[in-house]
Amino acid sequence: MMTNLFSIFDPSTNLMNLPMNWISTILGLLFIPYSFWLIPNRHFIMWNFISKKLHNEFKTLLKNNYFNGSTFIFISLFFFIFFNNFLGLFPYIFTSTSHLTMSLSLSMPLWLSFMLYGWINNTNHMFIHMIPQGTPYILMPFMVIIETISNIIRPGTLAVRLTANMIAGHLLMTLLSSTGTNMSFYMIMILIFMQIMLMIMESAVAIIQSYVITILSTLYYSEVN
Amino acid sequence: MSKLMFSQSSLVIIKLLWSKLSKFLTMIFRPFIQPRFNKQFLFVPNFILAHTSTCPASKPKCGASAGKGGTTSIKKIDFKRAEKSAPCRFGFIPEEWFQFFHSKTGVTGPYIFGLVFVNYLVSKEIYVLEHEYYSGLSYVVILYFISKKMAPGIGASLDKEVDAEIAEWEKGRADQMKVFETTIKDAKDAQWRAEGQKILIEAKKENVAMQLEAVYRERAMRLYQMVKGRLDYHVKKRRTENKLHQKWMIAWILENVHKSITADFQKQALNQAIKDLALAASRVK
Repeated sequence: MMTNLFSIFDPSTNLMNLPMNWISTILGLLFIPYSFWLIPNRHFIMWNFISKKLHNEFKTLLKNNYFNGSTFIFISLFFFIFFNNFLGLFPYIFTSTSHLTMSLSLSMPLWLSFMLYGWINNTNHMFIHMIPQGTPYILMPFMVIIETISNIIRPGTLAVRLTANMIAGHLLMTLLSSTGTNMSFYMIMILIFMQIMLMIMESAVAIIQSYVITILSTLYYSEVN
Repeated sequence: MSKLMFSQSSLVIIKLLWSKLSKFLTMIFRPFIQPRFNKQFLFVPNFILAHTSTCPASKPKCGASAGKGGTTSIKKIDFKRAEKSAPCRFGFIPEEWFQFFHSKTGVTGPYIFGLVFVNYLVSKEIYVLEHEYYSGLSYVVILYFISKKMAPGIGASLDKEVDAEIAEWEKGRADQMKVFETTIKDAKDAQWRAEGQKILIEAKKENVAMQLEAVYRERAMRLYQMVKGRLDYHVKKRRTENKLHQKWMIAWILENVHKSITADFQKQALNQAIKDLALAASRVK
């Protein structure tokens, strides 16, 4: 019984007043495959396939800023957010990325470190990149203001995009399923069908959001240098 | 300042006490405890950490197995790489759980147990059928369809990749075996050739021996001829000397005889000769 539509986002699994629901954050660690044997198994191959694809994507984006190992942080960020999003779709698993604390803790340090590095070390480069090539001279002050504002709200957008998508999806699912408690059997079939559609969309959203946040972080990183 | 000094001296005291304590404990628990490093601070209980078969602490020490010939007994890894996942029913209940029930309740046992358990949870409202349950239902349907429709295809393609990897390793192994086989063949070839060399050398030895023999015989013949020549020389010399001696002797004798024949004697001899001749003539007539 839900007291409130948003009560799914309340941490309520307690053990001596310690909220235990945040443990779902590290649930994704269990999905990382072992490399015990010389010959890989399917799980390992799948993992490697995804990692390699991501690596190639990010490498293309980073262009000249690429050095050996610079894609690791983004790949691990992707997997972290992906598992958190995806496992949250399962019943009884808490979606930790639906909280702004979580998303902001991810996006803010990244963005802040990029900005500090860029502005302290490559100040001229950062100033130059504020204005795209070919803007008329009259527009330049406005462009600077706009670019500054867009730069400043970047951590907010990264975090809020993720959180809002997760909250919206979960809210819809919860809303839809909570009508099932007082339904006849045949209506439940229709409900299940609609929920299946929603679930598929939510899974896609989970993957896409994690991909988006990672790609944007890569872009922000490549802009700095 | 005084606090810092106090903490430092207390640290020293604590370290001293700890060293004494650890020495005492090591002495008492030596049969149970494996000292890990040279320091006496660190000791690890053997019965806690040496439980795995591959743990080095469970290997016999060097001195203990000296009587066996010096080889330590290293256990092999008993398990193999799992090529398939473990058998399970309904996709998530392992098969062993059904076997666990089988001896007491037969085939239907675990199903009845499951049903009754779920019934208990639901009827007592320990498991409340709320919104999570209905989203769980839809998720179960999704997962079922994915596992039936898409999973075999994905599994087959991934298996192909695994097989490709295995094939690569096997190919490397097979290539290496081929290299070894060619090496063995070449080595055997070389051995055969070496034996042929032996025969060749034997023939050469015979040849050389024959040549030596021939030279030896030639030299022996020369030696014989030289020696014979010298001996012939001596013989000829002796013979020549003898001839000369004879000649000289005859000449000397004749000379002396001629000398010894006086005129008187000569007369007498001649008269005698005439008489003899007359006698002979008379006889002949």
